[in-house]
Amino acid sequence: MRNKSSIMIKLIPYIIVTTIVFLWYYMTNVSLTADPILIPKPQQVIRAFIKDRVWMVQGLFASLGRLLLGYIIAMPLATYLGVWSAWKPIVHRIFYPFIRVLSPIPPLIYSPFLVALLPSFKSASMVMIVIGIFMPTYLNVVHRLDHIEEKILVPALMLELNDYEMVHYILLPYAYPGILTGCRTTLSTSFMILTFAEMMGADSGLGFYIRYFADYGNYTNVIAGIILTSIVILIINALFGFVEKVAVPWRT
Amino acid sequence: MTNNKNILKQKGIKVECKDLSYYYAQQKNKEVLQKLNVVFEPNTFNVVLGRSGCGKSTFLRILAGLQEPTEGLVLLDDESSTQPSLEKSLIFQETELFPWLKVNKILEFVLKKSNREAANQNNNHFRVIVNDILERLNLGQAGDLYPHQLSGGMAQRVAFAATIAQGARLWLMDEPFASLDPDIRQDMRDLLLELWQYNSWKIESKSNEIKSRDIHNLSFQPIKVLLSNKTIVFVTHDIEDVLHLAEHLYYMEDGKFTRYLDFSDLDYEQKEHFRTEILDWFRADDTSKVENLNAKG
Repeated sequence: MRNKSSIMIKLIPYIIVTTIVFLWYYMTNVSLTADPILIPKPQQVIRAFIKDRVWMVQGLFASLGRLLLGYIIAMPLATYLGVWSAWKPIVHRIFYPFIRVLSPIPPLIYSPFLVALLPSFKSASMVMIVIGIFMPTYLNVVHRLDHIEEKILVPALMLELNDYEMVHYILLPYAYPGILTGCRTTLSTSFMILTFAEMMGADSGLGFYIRYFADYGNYTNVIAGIILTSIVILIINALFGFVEKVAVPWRT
Repeated sequence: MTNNKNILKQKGIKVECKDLSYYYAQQKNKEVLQKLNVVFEPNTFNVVLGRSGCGKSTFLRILAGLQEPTEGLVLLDDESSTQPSLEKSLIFQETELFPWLKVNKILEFVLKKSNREAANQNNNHFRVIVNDILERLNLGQAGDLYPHQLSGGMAQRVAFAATIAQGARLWLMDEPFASLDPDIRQDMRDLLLELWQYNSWKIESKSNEIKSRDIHNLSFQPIKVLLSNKTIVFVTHDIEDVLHLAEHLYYMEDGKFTRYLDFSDLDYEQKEHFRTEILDWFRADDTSKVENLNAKG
């Protein structure tokens, strides 16, 4: 009995998706109750995918490139600063209060100012993405290390490690699994900033693709873009999960 | 020659507490430790027995240098000590050390950090010592495992191994066997006694890599590690720990040592005669608590 119900529970998401697709198909093809412009037929969306595949793939890579760059800049910076902040009270005093106070402000707020301040829209959007990843990652690292287990900290203290050794051999490895988990949680925020920025002023990327066709009222391609973006986020999320498993062998 | 000199130097530490008090800033009237005066002689096995909450863990943390006493002094070999240091090791109920390293890497790391003057030595030398320690503690198979893959008993063995590698001369132990199965607990007590009584390794290494006399011929410092004597302060509420391990028994009650028994040169059977007496201490402790409560109520 229990087995049967657990299989049912696992099937629920698939059933929901199938139902939505079916309803979509039914309303657009059979009952014709849906607005033909706002809600195109599923087969039209599939056709849009096929027709625009090159454009979409290029857009995809443009977006991923920006995202990757954002992570490459923000993650090491946030992690390193976070670890030092957790270890040295003076560093903590300098950075933590500011980042703590500023972190709830959505980075998108800065966009009009950053666009005016920085030479290109691209650089402005990069700065926003970096801020969006940096703040939560930094706080995550500091908080994780605030609660470092005594059974790990005490043996390290007894070894009379200097600051450099403490940070590099003890605190960084300790923070590391949390950082990878943090990557997944910052993913949605950073993607939101990214696509928003692309919608505002980029000339490539997934956000730009959606915006471009929305301007022309071509909602078939808009929906195709939304579906593609969702799939990409799902894949990246799964990828992070996989990396977490492989890269952290000490945590089963 | 230099080696011999090192061996002579490695006595256990003499621990002296003078008027040691500790209380939380908010509750000055409730002292966790009350003017403790005690001397643990070098190379002795001291057991501190007491109910949970009597202050024994705080006492150990102050000895380790993790907490500062509100008043009073801790002297190690007649010098004031307020910081954690290589000479001390604190072993908890559950140890994981550095969960991101495999066991042999943990020991190698500890060995290197506690022998900085030999840090430029060939890594092989360190590995030889690590393998030797592992083998002697029956951890031969554990070297390539991560700490989370170890059983409770093995994890405590690894903690001992790390303490040996560190060369700690003062072993502070906070109920180290409390979370182990009873039969493993007894094995661990035997092992601990054996380690304490060693003033040198028994020379019977099975490893091909190292012959016993080679240990003495190694030109660098870690040799001292294997030969150091130790003073042990062991905190527990388990009477079996007392009867199997204690050379000096201190009973702690409300932050004070209220009773003491000298068990030197007594074996388990002889100590067994004291079981009822010790259990009575617990009972008296309880009664006084109840009386206190009644008086307050």
